[in-house]
Formats: sequence, C-alpha cells, structure tokens
Amino acid sequence: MSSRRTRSRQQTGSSRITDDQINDLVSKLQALLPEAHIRSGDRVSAARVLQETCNYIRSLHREVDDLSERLSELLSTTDMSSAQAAIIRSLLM
Amino acid sequence: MELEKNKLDSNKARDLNDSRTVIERGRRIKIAAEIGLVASSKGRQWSRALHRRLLRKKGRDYSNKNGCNNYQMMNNVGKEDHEEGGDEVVEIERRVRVLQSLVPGGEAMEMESLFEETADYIEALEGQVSAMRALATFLDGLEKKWIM
Repeated sequence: MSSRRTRSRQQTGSSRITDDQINDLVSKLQALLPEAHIRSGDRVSAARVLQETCNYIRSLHREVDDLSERLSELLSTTDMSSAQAAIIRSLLM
Repeated sequence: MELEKNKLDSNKARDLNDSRTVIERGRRIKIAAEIGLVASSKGRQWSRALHRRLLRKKGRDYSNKNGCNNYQMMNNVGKEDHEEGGDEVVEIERRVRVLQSLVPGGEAMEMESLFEETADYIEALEGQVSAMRALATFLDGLEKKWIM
C-alpha cells in the first residue's frame, strides 16, 4: 500500500495535495482547539479535527449571538449617567 | 407638570424594555460585533468576505429575521463524492466543505489558505467573545452597583 496517495480536491479548487500536507495543516488546526475538545497528545484523524473545528466555530457563533442578546437586555435595564456612557464609548472606540 | 414628566419617563422606560426593541438592539449589537471582527483583521480573506457580506446586509433592512442565516451549512454536502481513496477521503472532503461554509469567504479558498484563514478567524472570534463578555460583566456590575 502506497503511503503517499495524492488526491485531487476539485471541490475546494486546489490541485493535488498530499497526505503529508493534509496532516501538517490538520495538526495546526488541532493546536487551536480548546484543550477540552481534543488532547493534543493524542493522534486524531484529520476528519475528527475538522469536525471539532467546525463544532468549535459554531459554538463561538452561538456565543456571539447569546452575548448580543444579553448585552441588549443589560443596556435596556441599566440606568446609566452620561458620564458612564461616555466611558463605555471610549472603551469601544 | 410633574405627573406629566413622570408619565413620559415611564413610557420611555417601557419603550426601552419593549421586547421588539430589545431584539432589534440585539441584532444591531451583533452587527457591531461583526464590524469589530472585520476591523480587527483587515488583511484577511475572511475579513474582506465578511465585510462584503455586511455591506450587502446594509443594503437590505437591518432586521434580518434570521441573523444567523449566513452560518447555515451547505445542504448538498456529501452527495457527489469522488471515490478516490475510499471513505476516509470522502469524509475529509465533506468536512472541509462544512468548514468552508462556516468561514466567511471559505467557498473561494483553497485547502491550505482555508486552514490558515480558519486559524485566524477562530482567534478573532475568541477575541470578540472576550470583549463582549467583559462588557457584559461591566454592565452587570453597573446595574448591581458594584462599580461606580
């Protein structure tokens, strides 16, 4: 069995990419995932890392949505002086 | 006169808390967060793609019913697969397509730049979440009079 299969990636538009390249890229992605998802000591399949990456991005999207909601509610209930509002504005700009 | 003023104030307070207003403000906060994302990583493909998406949104109404509709998965994933290396390749290709749908502008990216862009996009999102959490904690503290 050959250990260097090349595959063409027509869907993603790139030309031939090797196993090694995939593994290299995937291990870089793996390094980004929070510890809880995949321990970086483990050898995990490329498919698994991709799956966890997608799950992680989705959870970050959800967090942005939830925080947006929460911030909106906080802004509606908080009594704020104009001085306080000015401070917040200066933090965000 | 006093009574009038109090009535106006309570109307205003009610409007601020009106659920439609809260939802609409939430959407605008989300858009502001995305603008923040774009501003934080200008050199990136995903950043430009997200910028274009925001400009298109601006052309329409702000009140997208489904603010997350850009985050939907492609629904024809996995149908036409080239069986070149067997199941493993098919599986990886499928997941790459899902990843492409999650990263702004991902569909136009080749594998190597897709992964690089993904890494940067994740970091930017994490930073955005941190900032929003900090702000939420701060506002919470204001309300509970811990600070100021």
